[in-house]
Amino acid sequence: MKIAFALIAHQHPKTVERLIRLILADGHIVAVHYDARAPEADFRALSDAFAGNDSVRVVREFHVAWGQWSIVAATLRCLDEIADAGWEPDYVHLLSGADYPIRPIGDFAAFLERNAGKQFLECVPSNERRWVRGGMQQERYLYRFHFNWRDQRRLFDLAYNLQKFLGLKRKFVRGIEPHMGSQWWTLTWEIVKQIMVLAREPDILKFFKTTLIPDELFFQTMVAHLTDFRNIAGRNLTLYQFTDYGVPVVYYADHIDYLLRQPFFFARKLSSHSPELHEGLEATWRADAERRPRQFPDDAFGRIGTEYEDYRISHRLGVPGRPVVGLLSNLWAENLGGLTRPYFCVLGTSTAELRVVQRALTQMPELLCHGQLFHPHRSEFAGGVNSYAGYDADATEILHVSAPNFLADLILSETERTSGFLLRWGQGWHIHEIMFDRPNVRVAALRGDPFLAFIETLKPVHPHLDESLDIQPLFELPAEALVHRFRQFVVAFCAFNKNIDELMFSYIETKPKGWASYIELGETTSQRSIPLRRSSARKNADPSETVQNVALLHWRSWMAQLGHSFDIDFQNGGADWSSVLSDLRELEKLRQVAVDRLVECGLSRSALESLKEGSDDPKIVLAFV
Amino acid sequence: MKFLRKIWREIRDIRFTVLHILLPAWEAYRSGGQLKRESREFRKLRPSDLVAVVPFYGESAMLSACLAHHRHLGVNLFVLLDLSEAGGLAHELTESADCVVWRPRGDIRLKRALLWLNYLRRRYATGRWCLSIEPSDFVAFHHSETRKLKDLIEFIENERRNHVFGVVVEMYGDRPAVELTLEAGGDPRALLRLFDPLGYETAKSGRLLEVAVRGGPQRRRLFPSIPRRSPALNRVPLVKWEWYFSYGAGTRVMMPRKLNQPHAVAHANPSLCLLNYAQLNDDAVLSRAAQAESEELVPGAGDPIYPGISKLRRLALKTGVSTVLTDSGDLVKAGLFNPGQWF
Repeated sequence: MKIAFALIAHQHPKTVERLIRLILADGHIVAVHYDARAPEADFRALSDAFAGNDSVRVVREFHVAWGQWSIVAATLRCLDEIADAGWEPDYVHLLSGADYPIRPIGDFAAFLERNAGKQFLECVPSNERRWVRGGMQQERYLYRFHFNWRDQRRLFDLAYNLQKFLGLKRKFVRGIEPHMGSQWWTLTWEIVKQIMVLAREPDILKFFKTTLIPDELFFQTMVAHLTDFRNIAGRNLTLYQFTDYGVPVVYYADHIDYLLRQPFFFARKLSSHSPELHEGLEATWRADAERRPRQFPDDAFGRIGTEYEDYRISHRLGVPGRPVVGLLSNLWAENLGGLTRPYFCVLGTSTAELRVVQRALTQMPELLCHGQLFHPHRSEFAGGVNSYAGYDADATEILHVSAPNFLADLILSETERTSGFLLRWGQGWHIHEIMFDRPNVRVAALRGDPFLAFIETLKPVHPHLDESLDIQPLFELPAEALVHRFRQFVVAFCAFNKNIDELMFSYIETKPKGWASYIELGETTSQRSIPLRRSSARKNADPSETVQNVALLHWRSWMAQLGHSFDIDFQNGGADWSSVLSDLRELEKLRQVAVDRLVECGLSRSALESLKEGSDDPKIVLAFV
Repeated sequence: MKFLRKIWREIRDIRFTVLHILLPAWEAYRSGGQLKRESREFRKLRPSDLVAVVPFYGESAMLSACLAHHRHLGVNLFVLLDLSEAGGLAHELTESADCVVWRPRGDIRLKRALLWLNYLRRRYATGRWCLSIEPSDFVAFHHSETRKLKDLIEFIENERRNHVFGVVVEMYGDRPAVELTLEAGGDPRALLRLFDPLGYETAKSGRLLEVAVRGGPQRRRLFPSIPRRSPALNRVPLVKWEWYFSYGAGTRVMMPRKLNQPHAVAHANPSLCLLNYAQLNDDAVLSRAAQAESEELVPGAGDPIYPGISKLRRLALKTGVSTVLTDSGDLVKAGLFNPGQWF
């Protein structure tokens, strides 16, 4: 098998020389077209290096401009050289100066030997199928293009828009069916000879000279016109990929493993700034090499995987799953938006009840439950430590500057366990809204007891988790003041619960099933059902569909569900519930004390009894106001 | 009314251009007369040259490692401004063919360093890519172990951009830096190996279009109660220079302000990190650097970093989250630079 390589180069003569020597070492032949606008010295260096070598021909005729006929003209010039030299190869392979083989050229020759007669080029009927990812496809040959898209953009746009406005469409030359595909091909010499004859016909030449990007059109159309489609493999043997900006991806020395597992024989482009990758690839072809190119069946060659495309799409806005410094603009929402690790958040109306939840959660060793991170005086880290992940517990000023970064750092710093935190009513600005919005956060809203929350509002600051509930202010305040405070409290409490309900229903679609729920403290489950949505705009929606994601759970079943969704075996936690239950009984007593004191102050007991956990009914509010 | 408003906007824009772009450029141009070249020009400049403009405050122990690192990354011309008390940098670097040393005539007014450096950038880097670092900064970017700065520049140019955003990462050791001594010609990377992977914040600042990045050891140790006053870590270290460009404060912000935007709209471009080993410098050097850094042509560009470094080098900074820097992958994991779509 004798292969002729048509090589188009415009810079880096040293790299090109290296590539040519590699080809010559296997006994193949090369015709090089070197760009006319490149420095004379570069061309001299290249042609002198192969002076007197019969297997190489170096020519220089055209200034190759992107998207114009010159690139096809340079290719045809190389083919002419091959014909002139009388080499009569079996196959011709088109290469650029930045290409390099990723497998031994011997393998390439053997592959062509096995598949002799096939034309390896991408060939898509462009009137039937979309091939161009974005931008013009059929317009490339329906209109005439005399200007360069990159250098003469204004003239290009003007001429194109004018033709479009006047409707100056043209028919394809000789009624041939147009085909498109990648520029890089491997063709048999027979068909190349026929193409060279056709390329000299004046009408064909005239037509293709005014098409846009003819290198992706000319050879493809000619091959489809000249041969039966069964002989066209429809894939090319050079690996090439594009960035978002339509520029070929460049491969560096760290890509060697990636390249070795690609089912191609050549790759485009290799970095010209360092020869490391070239050397690394050559080293894998030696017989005693440790790493070798992965082997593929013949049918697999030319079929690209999705690895790069996945990377390109997922990295468009930074590293997936990580907040990136200097990247995000909408600071509150998006710094947490970059974070994809699952964590949980328990919303509550009083610290006393959250303390019970925390005590229960700390019995599960696979969970890391922080306290009230957004407490205005001191962040409560798990285990009561004073400093966590570089943040001091007392330095709460940092939360005013960058609360989302703070939360993201805390969650990222724990690598083994699943983190979570408690969020009390009145803390953390609107961060609870963000918690509902994020699909990776498991939110549980505690159906808080109004009387316990009321006792806590009587003190000027929020209590800490390690403080016990202080009922002294209940008896210190005069009766009128207490009743006035209570009325104000009920209005705010109902508004808060209503807000939580609305959030729960409006964001439930963004969450996986079971990732948002109400939990209820107490030894026995109450009969209270979950609230129905109020939003009038959503009345027509099927209620059963959305409500099934929200459930009112007893706290123990909630913990079982929590463990289940984080893949934690809840039963093995060795949970000792007796202390938790005694806490609950204690809270029940305090609640009763508060109710008695309010009745003493002149409020009706029946009205107070109707104020249940998580109340948000405006009628109840009216009873007190 | 609309028309008048339009005219007023035009006038305002012209005023802004004159005051904040052309005037600093003109001042920088004029200040060139106060400098003189101490080493000979070694060759004619090429358009493909990658120029590093470096102020030198006396960090002689670190300089050779810094030059070697950036030479390896592909910088082929170093323009150094000798602002040290003793001088004599040109004599030290006579062997290095790719270094040009400049020094102010007469007494060294450190407050003018910003203008002088802008002049040197204008003189050597116009039309070329210009790296603006200090001898204690070591550049790191995506796969910088195997890739060159030219590769990064090629990718950035293909994304139709002319500047690269950077973040300073302060490096520290197991012990306070005062207890460590860097021998002349030694590698500071062997002494200070830890960095903070967490604890950074990105704040938007309006007028100059830059994002203010704060955090790291300075914020957590020196400014826990006033985090807004901790130093700005955002930089614009790599720019394709034009004659009218100028840095406004240190290398934190640039004029025209469009160059401060770290990323394109709805597309994250690659950025880089400047690993900062300044804690190994002695107090005299740090105070000179701090004086030079305190000069601001544009107000509101964030707080300077040097005053804190001299305090920081006396503290033990290691915490539970401190991580040993092994390669650029650690910085990606920490989110300190963005590889973008650079595969």
